[in-house]
Amino acid sequence: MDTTTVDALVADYLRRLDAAASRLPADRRAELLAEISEHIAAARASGSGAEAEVRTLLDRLGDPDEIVAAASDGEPAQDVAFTSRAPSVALEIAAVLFLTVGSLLLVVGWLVGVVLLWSSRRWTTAEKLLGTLVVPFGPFGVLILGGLIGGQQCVTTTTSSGPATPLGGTEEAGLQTTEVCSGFALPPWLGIPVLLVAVVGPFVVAGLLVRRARARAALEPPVVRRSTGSAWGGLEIAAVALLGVGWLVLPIVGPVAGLACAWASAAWTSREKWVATAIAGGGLLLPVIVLVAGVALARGGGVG
Amino acid sequence: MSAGLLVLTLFVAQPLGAIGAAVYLAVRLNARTAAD
Repeated sequence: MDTTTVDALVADYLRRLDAAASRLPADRRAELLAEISEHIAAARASGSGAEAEVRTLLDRLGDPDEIVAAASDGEPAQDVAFTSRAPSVALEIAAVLFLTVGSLLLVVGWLVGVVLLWSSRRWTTAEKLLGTLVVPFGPFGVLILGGLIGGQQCVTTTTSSGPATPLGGTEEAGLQTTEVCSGFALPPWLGIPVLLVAVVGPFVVAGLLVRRARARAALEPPVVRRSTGSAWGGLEIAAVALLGVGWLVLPIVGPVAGLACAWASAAWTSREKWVATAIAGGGLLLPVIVLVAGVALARGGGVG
Repeated sequence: MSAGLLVLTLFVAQPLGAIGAAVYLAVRLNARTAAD
């Protein structure tokens, strides 16, 4: 039995019923949806749950339009408009944004992402573990921590004479050269691939997590809301407010949360979301580039 | 590379980018609402 196919069948049926019931009063509409959902769930629980069985069940229930026509006998038609949309994945999008881009804010942003990741019910424990462990402190956390720790540093000193030859030193024409190294560094053939995986890995995992969360949200019953006639809802106001002034309260985290709200909203097109992300992302990345370049230059100047 | 440059980018580039994105989204949404 393919549970995903059966769930999709039921979700599609409920979506059509919800659309057909838009002419009913809100309370009657919610009541009808709940009633039919419960009936389907009970029938599935008592049967084998096979796809053919569920198809028969839905056929017996009848066409959604007919169900609504029967339910609306005696109900006055109303002009109030309703909007129906897929359940929000704002929490999940915020989680992956904090786990990746949020790691710009050393440790704190990534920790916020971990908390959001584990609070979602749309991921399995294995997926949550994957999101947490790939990679601890996030891609930018790895870069920043690597820059702060400093890797391996060597100092070479040359002395003119001395009766004893220090361990590790060389003696040539009365000069002794001693190299003292501190810290730890991987050889380039290992270090570069490890660094690439540490930086790219979290973004790949983030993409996978978002795709799975969206697929699972699509199987859930739609969210029905009374239409206000304006495109500005709570999510849209939060997105613009967090981007506009969020950086004053929480640098980096505020704008990242604003982008999460924008991506979770259906009011903007994908193109508009990408443009906004590019505009805000440039401002977020520049300080990190400056920091990494500064650390690299400082280390380069201090060695030798 | 001075710390000043870091502070400048953190407190100028970041707000400018975020505000720019906020303005862009607000303008697009208002335009759509007006068209509807």
